[in-house]
Amino acid sequence: MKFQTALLIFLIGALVSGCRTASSPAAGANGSGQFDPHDLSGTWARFGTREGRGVNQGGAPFPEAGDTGFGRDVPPLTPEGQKMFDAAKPGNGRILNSADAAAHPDEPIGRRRAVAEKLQNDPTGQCTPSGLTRMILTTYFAPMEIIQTKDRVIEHFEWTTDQRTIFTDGRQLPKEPELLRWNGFSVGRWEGDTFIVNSNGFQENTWLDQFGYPHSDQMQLEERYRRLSPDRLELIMTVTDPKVYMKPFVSQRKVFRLLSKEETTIEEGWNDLLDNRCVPSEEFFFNEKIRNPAGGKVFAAK
Amino acid sequence: MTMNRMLIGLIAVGVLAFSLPLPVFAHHGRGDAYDTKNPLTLKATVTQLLYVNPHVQLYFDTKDEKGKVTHWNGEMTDIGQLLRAGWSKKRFTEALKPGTPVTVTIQKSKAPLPPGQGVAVVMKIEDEKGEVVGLVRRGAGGQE
Repeated sequence: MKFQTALLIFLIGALVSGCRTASSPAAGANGSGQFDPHDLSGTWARFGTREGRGVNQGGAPFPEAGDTGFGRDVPPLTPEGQKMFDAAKPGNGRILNSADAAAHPDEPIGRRRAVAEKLQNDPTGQCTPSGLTRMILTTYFAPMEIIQTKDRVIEHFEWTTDQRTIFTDGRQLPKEPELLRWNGFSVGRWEGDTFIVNSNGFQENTWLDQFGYPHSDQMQLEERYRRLSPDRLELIMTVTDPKVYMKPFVSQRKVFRLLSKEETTIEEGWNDLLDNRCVPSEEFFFNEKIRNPAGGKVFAAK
Repeated sequence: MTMNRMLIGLIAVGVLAFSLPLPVFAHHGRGDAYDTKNPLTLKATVTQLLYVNPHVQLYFDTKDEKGKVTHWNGEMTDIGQLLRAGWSKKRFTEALKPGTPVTVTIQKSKAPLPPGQGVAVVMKIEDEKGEVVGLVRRGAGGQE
C-alpha cells in the first residue's frame, strides 16, 4: 500500500508537472492564468507537447484535441451527395474491405474505405489547395497562427502556407458570390465569449477532410471559437449543404493548444511558422522517387 | 473510488498518453502501399538525406548475405514534426551523413520493384551506439 501511495503521488505529480509545462507563462499570450476571452491571437495546434510525447516520439495529439477528420456523426447524404462521396477515393483511413476495416464496424464508412495509391484521387496530391475545413484540420500536425486586428481576424496555416481572412467590420457575406474561393468568404462576430464565423462562396473541388467527405459550392460553414483558458481554444464547425447532406453536418469538437515561443522557434531568435508550401516540383520529385514506386508504378528507366 | 481503482485509472491514462500512434502521413494517405504487418530491421549505410517537403527522405543501401546491394528510397515524417522535436536540419543531416552506418526499421512497399531497388517508410533509425536518430513511427497512420 505504501508503494501504491508513493506511485500515486508520483503519477499525480508527473501529470501536474506535464500540465504546467503545457500552460507555462511562456505559453500564455496574456500572462499566467489571465486571458482575454476575446483575444484569439497566438500560434495554435492540436499536436501534443514535446515533453508529453517523450524523447524521440512525436505527433501524438493531446486527448481533447480531436482526431484528424471532420466528424463521426455523418448525416445522410442526398443522392447527389452520395455520388460525390462515391467519386472520392481517399488514401487515408482503414483499407477498404480489410480485416482492420471489418473490425471497426462502428466507424462511419468514410473512415473505412482507403484505396491503393493508383486508385486514389486526393486533390492535394497535385497541390490543389486543401479547402478551408481540411486546412483547419491540418492543425493535428502543423500549427495555425491567428492574427487579430480591429477589423479582421487572419488565420495563417503552416501546412501549405495558406491563409484566410475573417472580416469583423460588420459587412455581410456576398449573397451569390460569383468568384468562388478555396477558403470562401468569411465574416465574424462575437456572441458573449464565442467568436462565430460564417462563410460561403467555396470552390467545390475540395474535400471536407482527408477521408473524402464532399461538399458543394452551396456549402455554408459556421465556426464557433471559444477560448477556454490561456492556452486552450475550442472549435466546433457546422457545414450546411443541402445539395450534399440531408441535415447540417456538425464536426467533432476540436481543441487547440497555444504553442510556446520555444515550440515555434525555427531559427535562433526567430519564432515563426515554417515555409511549408506545396511546391509542384517537390511533389513530383517525391512522387517519382517514392510515392509512385510504392504505389506500384515502377521506377523510370535510368 | 478506491485507491486501487484510482491507481489503475492513472496508470491507464499514462499508458494511453504514451502509446498514441504518430500520425504518419501528414500529407495524404498511401492506402495499403506498405507492408505494415511485417516491419524489417536492417543494417544499412546512408547514401543521402533530404530534409525537404512534402516528406523528409532517407536514401540508404543494404547488403544481403551474398553481398548483393539494394538501394532504398525511404520516406519519413515532415520537416515541422522533426524540427519541433529538436531535430533541426543541421542536427539531422549531420547525424545522417552519406556513409553513416545505421540500423533501420522499415515497412517495405508491397509493390514489386526491379531487383536491387526498394521503397519503404522508415519507422526508426538507430546509430552505431544504438541511439535513436529522429522520430519513431508507430502504427499504419492516418486512421484516426
